[in-house]
Amino acid sequence: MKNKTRLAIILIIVFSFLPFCLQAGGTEEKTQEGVGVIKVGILGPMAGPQADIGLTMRDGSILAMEEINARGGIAGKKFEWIVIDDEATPAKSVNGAKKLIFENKIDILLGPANSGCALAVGEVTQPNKIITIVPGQNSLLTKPEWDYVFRSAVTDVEMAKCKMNFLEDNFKRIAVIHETNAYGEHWYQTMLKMMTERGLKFVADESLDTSTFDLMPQATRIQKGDPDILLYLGSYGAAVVNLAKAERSIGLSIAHLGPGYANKSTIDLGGQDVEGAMFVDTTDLNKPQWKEFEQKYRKRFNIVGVFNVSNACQPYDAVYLLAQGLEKTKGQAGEALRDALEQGVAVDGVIGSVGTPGARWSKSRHDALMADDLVMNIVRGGEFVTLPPR
Amino acid sequence: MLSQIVFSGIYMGCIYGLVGMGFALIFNSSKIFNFAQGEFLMLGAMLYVTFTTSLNLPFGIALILCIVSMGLIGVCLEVLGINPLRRRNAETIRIVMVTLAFGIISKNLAEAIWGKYPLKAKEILKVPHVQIAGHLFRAQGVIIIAVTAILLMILWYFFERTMYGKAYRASAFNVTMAYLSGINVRAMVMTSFVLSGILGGVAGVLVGPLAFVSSDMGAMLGVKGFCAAVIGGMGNPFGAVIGGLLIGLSENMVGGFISTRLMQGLSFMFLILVLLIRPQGLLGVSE
Repeated sequence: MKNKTRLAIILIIVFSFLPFCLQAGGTEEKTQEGVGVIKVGILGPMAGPQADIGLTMRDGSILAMEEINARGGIAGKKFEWIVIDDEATPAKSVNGAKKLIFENKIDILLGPANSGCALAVGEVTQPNKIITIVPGQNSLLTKPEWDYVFRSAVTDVEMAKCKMNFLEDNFKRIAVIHETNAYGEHWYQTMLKMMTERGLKFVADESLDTSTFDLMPQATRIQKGDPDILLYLGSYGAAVVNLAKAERSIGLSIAHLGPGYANKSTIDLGGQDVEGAMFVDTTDLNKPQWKEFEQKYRKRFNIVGVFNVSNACQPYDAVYLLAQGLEKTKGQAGEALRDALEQGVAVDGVIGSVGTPGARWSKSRHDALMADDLVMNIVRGGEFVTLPPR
Repeated sequence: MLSQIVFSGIYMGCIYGLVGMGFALIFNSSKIFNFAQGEFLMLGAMLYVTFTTSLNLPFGIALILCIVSMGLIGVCLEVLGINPLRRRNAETIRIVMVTLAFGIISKNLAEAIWGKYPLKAKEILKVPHVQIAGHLFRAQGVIIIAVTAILLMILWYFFERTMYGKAYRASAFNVTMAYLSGINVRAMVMTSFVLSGILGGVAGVLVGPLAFVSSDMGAMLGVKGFCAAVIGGMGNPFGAVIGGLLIGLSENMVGGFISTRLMQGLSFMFLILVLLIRPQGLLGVSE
């Protein structure tokens, strides 16, 4: 009996840790032969529900680094990268960043992909003078005292401005629903503040818990508000689709706008239910640079069907911005690279709308894009399409 | 609007009730709370996705396989986790810890096998909605309500009209007397785990097409099912359904007519109220 109990305890321990053991293989390393290397750490969720975000960020940056390496690198130095899966968890992200900085001795960190993780990791990278490129939208990420942190995209405030302009220009009655997680709450507070500043009010103001299957009460209350458009503040694909299903049940047919519609997972799960949904994005799909990037990206990573466009494009352009800085410093990172980036770098690359200068960093501006650089994309035929400028 | 909210409240209540029935059956026979009940549902849903989507089996065969598999998983929990401790007269809290551990193992195994990404389950009916009195209702919701009613009738027949069911009730009422009367008490406990596994499996098959299937789906439903079982009267499977309906309907009515922000806490509010005012539950503990 004792042996059976021992066996049971061992089995419990083994199976409890099984997923962690399976994910331990998530660290990937690509090493270039030779003495001169620029070590880059890539940190983000590489498995699980948010894997789309991390994987596309990883692949977009790898594509740019491979291109630069193929041209001979920077000042004779080639990029070398190490990928760590942080499971979108701040504690694991901090541990991953420490491993990259102190064990792998990285020069530059790309990520973490999520704002929550990036806010925690910034406390580690800033004092260690590691240039950190974050894709997250939280405004606090590029606060003045974090001068080693640069953003590959745009802040939530700039994104909210773009959303508000679009809503104000095209719709009279706006309803909102937000996920009751940190991401949804943050976006809700940002949009609510902006609505109040402009003297506007939501005709329906609802929330949802992403673990809830049935969103009929939310759908009926939204219908009661008689809106022209629903602003969905959240990114959980299953919840986005569950709400769309509930709306369909009660015959509610309105426009949708929200960041959750930009995800591959939402399109995969939702199909027809998310057709016509819109989202503010950093990538203009009419841009020739995008078309060229798309071809290269699909070929390199064997991608078929829809993918998280901007998650891939932003790090791609960010690597080219970094390359400009590294050219100036002859491949040296740390303080020299920060100064070089702050002197001003710009790339008319994949992100940014047609006719705008594209991604750029300077001393006064650590965010690659602003509200005027953004576009409105829509889900059409299961793919993403850019709407004409307003 | 009212009809839609009431309808969805009823089918969500039925789901809570099905999970709650699992809790009640095991509590009846062994006086322990099986906190892996939510994970039974999750495993049932995962198996349903595998059978229908990966193996492309027809619905009927997939359902039978889910029922058999979940019944076996119930047996595994009883044989490997519960019985060894019961034979040594272990404290109830230790046995409850085993069910918690089983739940964690199940969730982690499901993540390892099926991943964390939500999966699509095949709809049982090809039509997404049915029209009743000029209103559109989700077809899956109608199925959930109908299946719950059928399961309740089967359980009633089993407990009230069969010798085995009466033996089960006798063993739940007084283990010693049942044993002295020649009832195989161990078999009754095993039966409760098999039935709970089956109920979890059926609930999983019903819930899967309603939303999406993921390894963490059992947690919330397990908690709500537990609340339903306590509110209805712990150990009374029929009370669990009443408790589930109360939670489902009140959540939807409050969400639909007052505020969606108040929905999630309602089941716990009812739980506290019932424990304070009528600790034996609405229908009382089953005898």
